[in-house]
Amino acid sequence: MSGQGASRSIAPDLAGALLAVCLGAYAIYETKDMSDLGAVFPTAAGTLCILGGVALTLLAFKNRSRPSDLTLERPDWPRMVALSVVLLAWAVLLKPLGFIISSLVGMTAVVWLTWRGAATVKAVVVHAVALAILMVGFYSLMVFVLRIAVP
Amino acid sequence: MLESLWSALSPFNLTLAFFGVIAGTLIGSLPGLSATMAVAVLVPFTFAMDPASGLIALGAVYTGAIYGGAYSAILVNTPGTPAAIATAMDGFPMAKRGDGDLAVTLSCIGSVIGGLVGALALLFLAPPLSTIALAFGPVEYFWLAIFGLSLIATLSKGNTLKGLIGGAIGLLLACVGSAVVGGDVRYTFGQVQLLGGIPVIPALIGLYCIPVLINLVVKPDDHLERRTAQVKGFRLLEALGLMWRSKVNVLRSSVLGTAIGILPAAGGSVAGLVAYSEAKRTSKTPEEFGKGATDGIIASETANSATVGGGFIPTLVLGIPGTPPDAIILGALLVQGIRTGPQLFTQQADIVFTFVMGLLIATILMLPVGLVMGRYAFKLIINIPKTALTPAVALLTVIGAFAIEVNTVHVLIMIILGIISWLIARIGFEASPIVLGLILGPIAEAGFVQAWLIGGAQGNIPAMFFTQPISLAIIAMTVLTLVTPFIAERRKRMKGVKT
Amino acid sequence: MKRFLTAVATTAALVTATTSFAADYPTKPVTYIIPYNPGGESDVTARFQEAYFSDVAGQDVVIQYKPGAGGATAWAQLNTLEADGYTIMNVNFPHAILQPAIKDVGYQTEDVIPAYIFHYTPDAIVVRADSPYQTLQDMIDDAKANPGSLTFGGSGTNSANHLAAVRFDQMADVTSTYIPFKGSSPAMAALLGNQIKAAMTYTTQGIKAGDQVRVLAIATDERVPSFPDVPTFKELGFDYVAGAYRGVTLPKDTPQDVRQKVSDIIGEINANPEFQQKLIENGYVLVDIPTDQMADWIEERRAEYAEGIEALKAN
Repeated sequence: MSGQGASRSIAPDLAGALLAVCLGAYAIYETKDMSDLGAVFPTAAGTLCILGGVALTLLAFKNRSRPSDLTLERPDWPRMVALSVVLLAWAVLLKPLGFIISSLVGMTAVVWLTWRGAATVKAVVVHAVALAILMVGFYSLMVFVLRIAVP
Repeated sequence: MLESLWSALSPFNLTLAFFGVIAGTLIGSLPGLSATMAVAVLVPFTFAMDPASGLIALGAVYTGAIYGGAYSAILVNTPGTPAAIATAMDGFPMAKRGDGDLAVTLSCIGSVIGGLVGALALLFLAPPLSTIALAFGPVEYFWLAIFGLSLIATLSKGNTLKGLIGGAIGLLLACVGSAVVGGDVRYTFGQVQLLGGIPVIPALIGLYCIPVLINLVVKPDDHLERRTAQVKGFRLLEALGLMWRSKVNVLRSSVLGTAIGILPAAGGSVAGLVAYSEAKRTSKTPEEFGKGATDGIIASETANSATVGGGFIPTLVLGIPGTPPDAIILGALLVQGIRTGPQLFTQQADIVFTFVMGLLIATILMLPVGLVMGRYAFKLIINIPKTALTPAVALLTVIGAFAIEVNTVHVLIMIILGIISWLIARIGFEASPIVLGLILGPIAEAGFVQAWLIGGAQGNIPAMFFTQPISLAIIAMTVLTLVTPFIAERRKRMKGVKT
Repeated sequence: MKRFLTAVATTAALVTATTSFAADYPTKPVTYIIPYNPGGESDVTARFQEAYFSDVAGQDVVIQYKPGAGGATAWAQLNTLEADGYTIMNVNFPHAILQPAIKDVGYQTEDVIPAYIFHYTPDAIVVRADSPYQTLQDMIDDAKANPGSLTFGGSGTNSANHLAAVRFDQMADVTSTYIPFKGSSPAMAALLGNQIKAAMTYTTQGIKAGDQVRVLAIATDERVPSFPDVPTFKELGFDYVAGAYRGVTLPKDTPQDVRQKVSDIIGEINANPEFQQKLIENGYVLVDIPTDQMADWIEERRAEYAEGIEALKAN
């Protein structure tokens, strides 16, 4: 829990506003090379982003005394970052390592990151079997039923 | 017609339809393994069957796959197809609080009713209804998409302004790639892989499912609330009671789903969303929507199943397929020597009627199949230990993003969008508005550019946009949708003052 | 030393690969990639081929869709796929000459040289059955009287239909407005819904729409059997024979004899009278350009499209 009491932190709103304005500005900047009709939607969406961002900033300052509608928990950042890295690596290595190896490694890493209790031998064996079944099941579904060429 | 019913009811065809529905539901419930894929794989097998059996098998798989999308939407907050977006909005909150069994049962009954209405419309009203498809030109699609975007105001659960920004971000994502209409290459950062644009299904999986996965891993709590009370079974009577109380909603959503399904460029996602927002707008308790309102699931599932029958109307009558699965089935029809067109309903009527009968039978079979499978899916998800759930969900996201076009780059796009989605959810941005922008943006833009060019050729662009009766009606609906929340708010405040 | 060993290994692998492959290719199902959404001409003709493929080759073909950027997404990926002959891809012309000539689409025409071109769908100008244009001349007269007011719907920007519209303008010396749609079907829907005056499309679409439409002219040498009453452009005084040619291609590094084998298989399917019958009924025109005639054929097309491409670039 954020534990900052009733007064609202405006940091999330300001971050969102900044994001929106930057994105909108970049989107509009890129329209310089587009044809007239092709630039209409990017310009409109970019303008919406910027206007939304500005409005969000103003409202954030105006409503700073109101309680926040966000309940900010402090997330478990190490786990979050580790999971992101695992997932990205999984995606990147899918082709070079092949589907089976990369997925087995990826799934094992995800189990390891989710694990909170003590790791008994029995639990490890059960999970290993579960992963193997998952793998075999989905691999056969893709290759034999849906006939997808898997790397 | 009775003969067609008889031939459709042969034991072989019934068995085919039964297993077709099961297979379709299974495949559809896995995000990314879509109805298109299920139908595409089945087509070569149908060449060996007689045309009627082949068509029944295709229809059964298709019907099942569309329904199966509800499972992943309800149980893991991941609409496996755009059609199930609105289902996830209330389905997942219901599952979260332990009512997943009820949600699954409701979605099943809703799908069966919607599917029946759509199929009956196809059977009896196809040629006249196909004119709806033709009445919608570029301008009408433009306004329809704008109307869809205006739903962000009704649909966003938290901050409407953030929803709006999210929608704009979705529109920008939709611009990525080479524009089919206009030919500009936009926001590709020189990456050839991005020329085709952001792939919708991988984006859906990433934006919705990866945050769920991350939360499962980083938070110690359970995925879904476990009911302390004993498992209540199907909760069929409870569900039927709820459906009966919502009969207006069911009827309206079926009709909306059928009608919107007829529009080739709109399809299940728009139908589900429009039915959902209409249910919310007319509801006595609109504040419940998004927090697990049963009416939300009923509306979305009824409407998206009704689009199946609706979508076949332009496919068979005009030769213009509404959705990719329709297009594949159309291809199979051509190979079987069937010619589409208005004359199909007179000259080759027996084949058409057998096919529609097959669809009807498959839809009815969906009731027992869906109830039983849904129950087990719910039990499985709720009982499986978290350490086994997370790798399974992770594997499914990877497979889903990869399999749709057999492309590893799509997996990467899915994961990057997913991580971004989790991060911006922390500052109050939801996935739904972004997805709405991504899906509706291309429809709006194509309609706009085409209407602009046609208007230019006719020498009057404003008349093009603002004088057609259907356009004006859609504009009026958009305005109504945008102001309703404010009126409701004001009325509430007035009441508050009085009491 | 290491380099030498790798070289030996690669050569050995290549030799065994080529010898063992070509002899009994195919020994497992072949993936057939369609670079478009299902339902279009590329998909439908591939489905027709699918029904005969296993009879000829002894193995199934598995159709897969990789749509995007008017086909460019898939074609740009072609040479990253395994070059063992078990992945074949549909490739279309003029698309594969047009796209790289106009924009950087991540591939060159040389990257997607087909092993076999098996049919084309002739360009056709189609109007609604209740259109005031009874003949092509009516349309040209109207377009001359009101420059820009003639709207041609077609599939995509800088596409085959777009090129055809531009070439028509040059030939007939008129100015029309081309309206791009996301495929042939939406363009036909707009035509039937009276949103555009004419569709610059293919004979196949004219057949699908049946008697709701009238075909004004077809870009073939001789009249098409399905439209015995519709004149060719040639009869009307325009030297114009064109359409979308579809072929089958493989990754560049596929061994030559496997490429030849694929070319033979597709050619054999093309020779099947039942297959021919089905394609002709649906408005396709069969052609046979096997792999050894491909280079000349591509050069001819390049020359043919050059002028139109310049006009598109100037747009």
